[in-house]
Amino acid sequence: MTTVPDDDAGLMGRVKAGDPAGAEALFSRYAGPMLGFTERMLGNRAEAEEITQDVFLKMISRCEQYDGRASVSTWLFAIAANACRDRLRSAWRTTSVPIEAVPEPRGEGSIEGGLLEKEKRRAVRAALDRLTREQREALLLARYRGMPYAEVARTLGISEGAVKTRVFRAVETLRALFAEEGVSRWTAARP
Amino acid sequence: MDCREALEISMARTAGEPAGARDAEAVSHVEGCESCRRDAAALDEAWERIALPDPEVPPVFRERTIGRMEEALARRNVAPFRSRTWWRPALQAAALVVAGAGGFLLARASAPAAVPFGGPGAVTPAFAVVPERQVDVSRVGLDLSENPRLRNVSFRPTEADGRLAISFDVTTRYNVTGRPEDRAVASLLAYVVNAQSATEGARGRAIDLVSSELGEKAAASPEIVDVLVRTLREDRNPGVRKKAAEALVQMPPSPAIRDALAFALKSDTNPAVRMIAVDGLARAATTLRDPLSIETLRLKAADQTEPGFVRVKAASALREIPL
Repeated sequence: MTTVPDDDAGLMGRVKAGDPAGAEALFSRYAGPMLGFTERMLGNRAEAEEITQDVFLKMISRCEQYDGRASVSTWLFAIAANACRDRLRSAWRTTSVPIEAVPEPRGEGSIEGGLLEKEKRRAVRAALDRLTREQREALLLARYRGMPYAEVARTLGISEGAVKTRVFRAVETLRALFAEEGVSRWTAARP
Repeated sequence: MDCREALEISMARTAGEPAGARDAEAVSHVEGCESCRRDAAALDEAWERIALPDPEVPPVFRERTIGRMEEALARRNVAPFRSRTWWRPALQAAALVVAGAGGFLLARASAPAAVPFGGPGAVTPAFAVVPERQVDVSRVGLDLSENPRLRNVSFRPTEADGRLAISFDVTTRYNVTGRPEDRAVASLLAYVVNAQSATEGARGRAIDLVSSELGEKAAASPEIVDVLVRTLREDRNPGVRKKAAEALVQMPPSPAIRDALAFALKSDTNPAVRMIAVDGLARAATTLRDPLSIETLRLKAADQTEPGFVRVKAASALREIPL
């Protein structure tokens, strides 16, 4: 029985060899972070799933182009960032109406906690939506992926200095938004 | 060093960047400048406040994506067959078009008359006990990422304006209108078919709408195909599974549809579902020239544990397949 290697480069080797186990392992590793990135870029879960799926299909169709110079993570998020840019520029892109779920009661106090958590997620999403596309993609990679600025720069095809400036301006904007909305509301949104 | 540069460097340190050549100077500046101290603290607080976990990967999305990835890998692993005869691919393409058009016309001819599917029917009721929110998905999308439980689902088929309507209760009543070809219509129908919270009647009516309104075009929506395949495999209600099988048989055959029908023919407990699966596999065998479909039908025709009418149907289907 063959074992699937743990490191990303080994898994990409498996994908190039046509091994579904390698592809599935990379999906398991990166699907959640990828969905987080695409959803926060696009503000829409349905589009995020569509783009995320496309990224993993491109991982397969373009696997021969992966030469190991960048990490697999950098390569995948570069594909995702380009796809999100294209989608955001797309003329036919529409806004979406959210159909809100009624939180399910799970235990004492849990509905309130669930609502606060939901409110926090919505407040953060709304704030991220106010950033420029350039600021948002740099911030998402640095903040939520923990990528060093050098890797963010490689992923987005920009300089490290540009990453530093964009992240700074993004957080500055968020700080100003939170200050506008008032500390008391933001404090209330904290779980 | 000015305040802005000092704050940029401070932000980079908060983001986890390693110490740089000018870090000491930036730290010294911030410590000595009251406004920078305040701003740096506020920036750090904003950085912390936007912490969010990665979303859960929905199991349906995972299964669908991995399935597509496996198909993509399989295509890469198979060398294309080059036919020596020019007319064979043309004949196959023509057969596919004829089969698809025939299925579409048959479905349209046998579709029930356009009557309200149940529920209120009218798009704008004369009076409303609860406020109704109108959503036109030809102009906006629908975000179902919160997995809302849809209750009291009702459907109105396409009317003279070329639009159909799907209404449901969540926190308020929504009336969603759109054209059959709108992506959000397909997504919403797939959601209703898949929803555990929906009644069997609602799931069945959603599948009926897929068949009558989308017809063959439903094959263009991967969500619709996936949810119908899943319904055929897993729904507890044989009537709903039968509708899913009928909807899939209308669509141009694909490997995913063929596999679902083969599974149904081998494993479904309801003979009516197995009879429809025979029709679908016969079509797949003819249009895809598919040995798996032919073998499945052959085994079923010879299966002594199967009721006679199913065996006879499988045998008849085999005789109709041009060799």
